[in-house]
Amino acid sequence: MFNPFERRATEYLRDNEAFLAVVTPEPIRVHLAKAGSEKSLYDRLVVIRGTPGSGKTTIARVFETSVVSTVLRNEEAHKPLMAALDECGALQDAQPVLLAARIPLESDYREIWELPYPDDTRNALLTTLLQARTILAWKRQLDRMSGSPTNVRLVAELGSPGAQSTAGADTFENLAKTAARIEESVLRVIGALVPPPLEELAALDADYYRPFEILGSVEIQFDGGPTWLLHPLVICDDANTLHPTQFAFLQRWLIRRELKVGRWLLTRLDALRPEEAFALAHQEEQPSELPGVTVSREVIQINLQSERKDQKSAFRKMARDMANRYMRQMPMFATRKLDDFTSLLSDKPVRLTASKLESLRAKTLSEAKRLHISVDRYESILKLITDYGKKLEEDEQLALLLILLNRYATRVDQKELFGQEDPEPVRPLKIDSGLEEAARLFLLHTYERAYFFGFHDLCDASSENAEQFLRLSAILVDAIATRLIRNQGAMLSCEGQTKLLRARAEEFIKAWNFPYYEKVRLLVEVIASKCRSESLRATAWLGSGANAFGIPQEEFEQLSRKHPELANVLKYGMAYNAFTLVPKYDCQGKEWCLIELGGIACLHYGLTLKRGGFIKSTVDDVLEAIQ
Amino acid sequence: MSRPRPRWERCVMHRDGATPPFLAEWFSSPSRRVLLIGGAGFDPRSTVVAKLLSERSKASLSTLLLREHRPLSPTGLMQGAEENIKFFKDKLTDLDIRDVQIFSPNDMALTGGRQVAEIARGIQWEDYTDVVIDCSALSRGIVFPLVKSVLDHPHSPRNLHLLVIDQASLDDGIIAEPAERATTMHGFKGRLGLESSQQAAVLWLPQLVTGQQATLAKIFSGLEPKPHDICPILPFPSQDLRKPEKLITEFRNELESTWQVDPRNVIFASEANPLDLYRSILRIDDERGEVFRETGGSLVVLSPIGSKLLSLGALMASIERDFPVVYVEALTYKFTPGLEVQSFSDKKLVHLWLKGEAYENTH
Repeated sequence: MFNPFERRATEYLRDNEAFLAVVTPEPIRVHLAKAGSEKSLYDRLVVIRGTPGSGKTTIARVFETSVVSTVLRNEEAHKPLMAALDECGALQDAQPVLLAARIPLESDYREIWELPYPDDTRNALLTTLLQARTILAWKRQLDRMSGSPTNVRLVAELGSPGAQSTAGADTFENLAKTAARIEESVLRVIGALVPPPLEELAALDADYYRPFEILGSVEIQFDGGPTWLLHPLVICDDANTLHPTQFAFLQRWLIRRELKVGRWLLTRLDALRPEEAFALAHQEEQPSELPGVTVSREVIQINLQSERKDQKSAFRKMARDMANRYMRQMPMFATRKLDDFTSLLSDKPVRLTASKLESLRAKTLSEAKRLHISVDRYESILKLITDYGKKLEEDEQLALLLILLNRYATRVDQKELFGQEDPEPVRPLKIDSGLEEAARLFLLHTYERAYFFGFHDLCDASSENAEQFLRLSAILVDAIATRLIRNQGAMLSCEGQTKLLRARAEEFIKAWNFPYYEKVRLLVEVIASKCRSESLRATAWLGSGANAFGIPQEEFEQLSRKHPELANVLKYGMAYNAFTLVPKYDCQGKEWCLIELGGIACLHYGLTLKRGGFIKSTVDDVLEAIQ
Repeated sequence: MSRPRPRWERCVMHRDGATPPFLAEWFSSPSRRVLLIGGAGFDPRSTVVAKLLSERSKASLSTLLLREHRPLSPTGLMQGAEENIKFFKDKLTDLDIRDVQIFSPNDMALTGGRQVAEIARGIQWEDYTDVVIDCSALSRGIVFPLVKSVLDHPHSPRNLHLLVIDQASLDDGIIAEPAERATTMHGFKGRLGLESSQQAAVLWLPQLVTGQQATLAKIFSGLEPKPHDICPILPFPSQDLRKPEKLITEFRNELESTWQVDPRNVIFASEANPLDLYRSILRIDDERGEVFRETGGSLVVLSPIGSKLLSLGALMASIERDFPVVYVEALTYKFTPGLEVQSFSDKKLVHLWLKGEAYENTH
């Protein structure tokens, strides 16, 4: 059965209409609207960072001119997207204002760094290829637009021969021809088995070719239709492919105010050195690698994964919209008018069976006996639970009772337990949501009761990564479809969701396939098993449980210098959502850096998806884990 | 429309035990000057050809060993490589070992292909009558540019022989930890990405291999422009006759949902005969070339990631038609020598004669 959730990346959809059918405007609004409303998206460098699958390429593609023109052609169907583009300043009076194209900076650009030429030459080749390809990509955008323009005019001062040679030509058509010629020549150099001698590069004119400095805007006319004045925008995707020195150079080059075109640089967190990736993950500004540039003023930095609280609800909104769009593509759901994914995921777990419940009750009694807790105290703790504001199921109540019995035992003097009939605890027993969570976690691990269910858990397990969300959802969608085929109700039980999600998480971890993945897996295993054993302690001292290691901040700051391999393990683990880093986390008067497991690891090892619980650790412990 | 005859339409190939006697006979004359290029790695097949040539040939033998260095190589494999090198040193007199850093230490970008092309450029090819490339223990990222360098060089020796030990199960047993992203093989970029090929109908021919979904996903994700059609290559006939079925089951998600492959678009290629795949690829390209001639042409992209023997078919096709080759290099390998490995012999040696005296009257 065709399952569009398995397809994952929207970049695989060639057709604009098919692409737009699954695109949700939420990330554009959340990440770009603010800068867009301040009109700072198209006149300076914008750097967008995110983990793989976080939606960078999708965002880039939405802004491409041919896509925008498709949106405008079918305004009614794409109203929300149109509104988002409008908020970002990509539309004005329902007309596009950008000539935008996405340029994937794939391996060709990185190959330039391996050529045996001086740095200046290599950098010139890089910018030459980028500019030539951008011109060609802009032309392709215009060609792909519905109702091709009849006339394309450059709005630039091209009177002088100097300006013409800088731009490459005097008309848009000729500009494209020059760009095609230059692209071919540069690629011949890059692709040659043995590169030509430096002298032969003179014919490329790489030093003079600088169309980004000339092209202010492009006017396009349609036959009997409107005239659009478009501002060129280059969107450099996958900049992480570049050599670090190239990346720094390109960033410096794109910051330059001489450039008249808008420019975006999209990159993964792992593009930079580990310490920079760690800092960027948490939006700390880097010390300037760019002399003479105030990064905060001249560069707009957008991080698709951030610690902001509103991000979580924005992601949920986006995920819901995205899932519903994907479901509408499946005839099985569309014909039944099942287009609300959240309503198909049950959030009411089935209580334990009578026999399991009986065994749990017996366990509480035997535990009370083992701990020398009186019958009265047992009853009073039970009353505390039944009086607790929230309505808990019987199995949850008993699991909670088990925890509270143990907490009580640790809060009284052990001698008193034998002497006095019913001593009072040093601190009164209290129930909170953390303890509720601990009870449910206990039930998961002891009785395999459902724990991961409902749309919110699914979103939390996705680590705010769209691709991960789709891949996790895919297995649930398959199961729902199977139910429909069998004429069963569409709603998927909590038990089914927990089982399927954990199985999928296990598959994901087995299929990890990125640099240092084996060491990342070792580290995840060690953190997870330690967190699980501590979370399942009888007293549930960690409340809802832990899913992180905490390293003293001062130790962590030395990490990339003292332990480069570990730094790489953390960098790649973080880039691929195996874990996230939460630096400068205050706890007990001390600063920690948390290595917090991602949603996939939490699902697989049965750990809480709630954040904040951690086990104190050291860099040495982490080093030992990856050996 | 008449098409030019494929360059290796009548390629000379020896297998099933015919290779050792052929090599013994061909290199029986002391006037032959042979350069053997092979791998100095952990692969247990590394030493077979060197042993065979040193023991059974009367020709003068020089050996160039390429030692591939990868950033995450485990100690066990390094020790295996050292043992093999010791064997070479004991057995061969005229021996040169060159190090090849497959990845750049800074950012793990691929550099091996470029380095090997440089090494090839520095060789005095005029000194030899025959060059023998033993592909058994060399990675694809090295073999492809190396073979192309030899074929492209104006003074390369008269004869170019490729040798490989046909043991698909051993190839399957060497598990690669793939690099982060897919790249085109050095020297095999073809027209991929060029403006002149933007209108071309792109056909991607991935070789399906057990456990390599992530690798193929990286290649698919890295392909620009995205392919219009995908025809997976399945090994059939193969030693395990159910292999294609197992692969279809394993890749069901990719075939059905991600790549949306039409069930008729599957290429079956003999696991033991690289010429079968070579011919199939050329035939497909010929037919597509005609169909898409008026609409921007056809562009075939190859991704040989499976058995080494099969990938030689892809190598020949890509050299002949300048097809782009996109693949994912291995950061390191996992390999546990099993019983099966101990038992292989030079009977499994396959010989492909790519250039030389055998063709001089026909080409």
